[in-house]
Amino acid sequence: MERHERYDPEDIEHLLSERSFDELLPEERAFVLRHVSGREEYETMRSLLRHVRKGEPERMEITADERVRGAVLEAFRAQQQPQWRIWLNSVAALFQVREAYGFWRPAMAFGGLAVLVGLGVWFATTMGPGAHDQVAEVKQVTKEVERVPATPKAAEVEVSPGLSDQQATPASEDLREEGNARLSTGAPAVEPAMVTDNVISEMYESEVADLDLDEHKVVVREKDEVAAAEDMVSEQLQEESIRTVSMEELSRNQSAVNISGVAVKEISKAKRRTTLPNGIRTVDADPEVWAFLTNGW
Amino acid sequence: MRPFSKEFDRMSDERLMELVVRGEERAFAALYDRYHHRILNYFHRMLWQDRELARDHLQDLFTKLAQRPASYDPSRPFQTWLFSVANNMCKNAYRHEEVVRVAALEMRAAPDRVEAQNGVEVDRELFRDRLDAELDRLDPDHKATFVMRFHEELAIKEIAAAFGCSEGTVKSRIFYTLKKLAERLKEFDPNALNDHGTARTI
Repeated sequence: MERHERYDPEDIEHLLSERSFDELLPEERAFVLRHVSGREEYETMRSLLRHVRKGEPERMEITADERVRGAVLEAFRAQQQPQWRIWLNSVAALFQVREAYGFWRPAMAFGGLAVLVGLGVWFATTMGPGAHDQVAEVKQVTKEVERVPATPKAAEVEVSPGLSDQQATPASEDLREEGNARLSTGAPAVEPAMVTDNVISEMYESEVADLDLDEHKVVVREKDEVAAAEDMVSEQLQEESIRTVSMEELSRNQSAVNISGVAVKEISKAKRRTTLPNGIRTVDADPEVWAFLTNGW
Repeated sequence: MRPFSKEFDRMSDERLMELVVRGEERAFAALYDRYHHRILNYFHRMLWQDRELARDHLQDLFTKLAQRPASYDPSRPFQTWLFSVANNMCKNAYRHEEVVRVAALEMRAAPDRVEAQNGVEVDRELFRDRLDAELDRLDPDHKATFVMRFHEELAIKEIAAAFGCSEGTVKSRIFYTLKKLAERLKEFDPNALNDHGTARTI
């Protein structure tokens, strides 16, 4: 049976470090004596090894100049690709990053860009000259709204005696629509119609509620004008007491109401919303709307 | 300001080399900072304790690394690869300056009288000088093995990887180097002191 060596020649280093010749086990001593001449050589090697290990930490070591570091870094920079290609590589690396560290460069670039854009938008919206003008305008609108008269003065158009109550009581909007329909189809003008001030006021308030602040401002002005026009109509009615309203007068009256056209626009919108929930109506396709707008303008 | 320098310090050598190949300068700087001292002193030991020559070789080594980072084999540990490159540079230096150095070695290896201090303590400075001189006379592979083992304190396995040889070869080299040096530096063995407390001269 083949006998395996417990030690190899190279393991003598370990024995030299740990044990003197006299401390070696018989088996170890036999192994050592196969590679060294005897006790003296073993002890000499052991002494040398001890000196080497003791002396190495005390050996004065030299240091490199910073110039060497600068030179090798400069060589590295010179060897590398242009910076824009490195940046593009880092962008491409966003899609094939293996470690979180690889994200930092593109993340910093895009993050910085996002911060700059955000700051720019914020400055434009809050600190720019337009922003201050808008604030001042809002304050004016508030004051103007406060000056709006509470309720426009009543203007009545009484129905001629021949009409029943049911015919005389529909809302002014319905009356206008009916009148416009008749006008567009060539039918005789609506005979008596009763337009009350409350109906008009409600119509305006509902319309105004849907408008933005700027539009509200315009509507409020128009409301004043409408109120003035209605006052005139009311005075006329008082003078004439009861009379039949012709189609022309009704159209004129509506024109007066819709001086700027804004009210017409809003009314047509409201009408679309309320009366035609199932489909879209265009001006061309709807003779009522077309007639209404024609009269309004 | 280097906000990610700590992150680089924590990275392994191999990971840093990957980044160096991609062109990351701070990874290269981190590797330089990590190894330049050891490599410089290795060159110093291997190249006849010539400081300027050691610095030149250090700069050459890292310049080569900067210019051809892709020459690094990622399958090998960076440290052993770096020492193998340094060792090859030393061999080239030996070849180029063989003639000059032989003359210098003969001068340095001239017989010295070594005085032991207090009959027991040897002059360590003299010992180091003699050791360096005797190392310079050794075969370059044996010398490099000895320096890596006892100066750089590399493991047997790492030295074997640096030389591309087996661990048994490395151990054998170390043993025979110790044996040869012990014979040449016998006078530094306290047990070999003569009756006058003076080490023997060569």
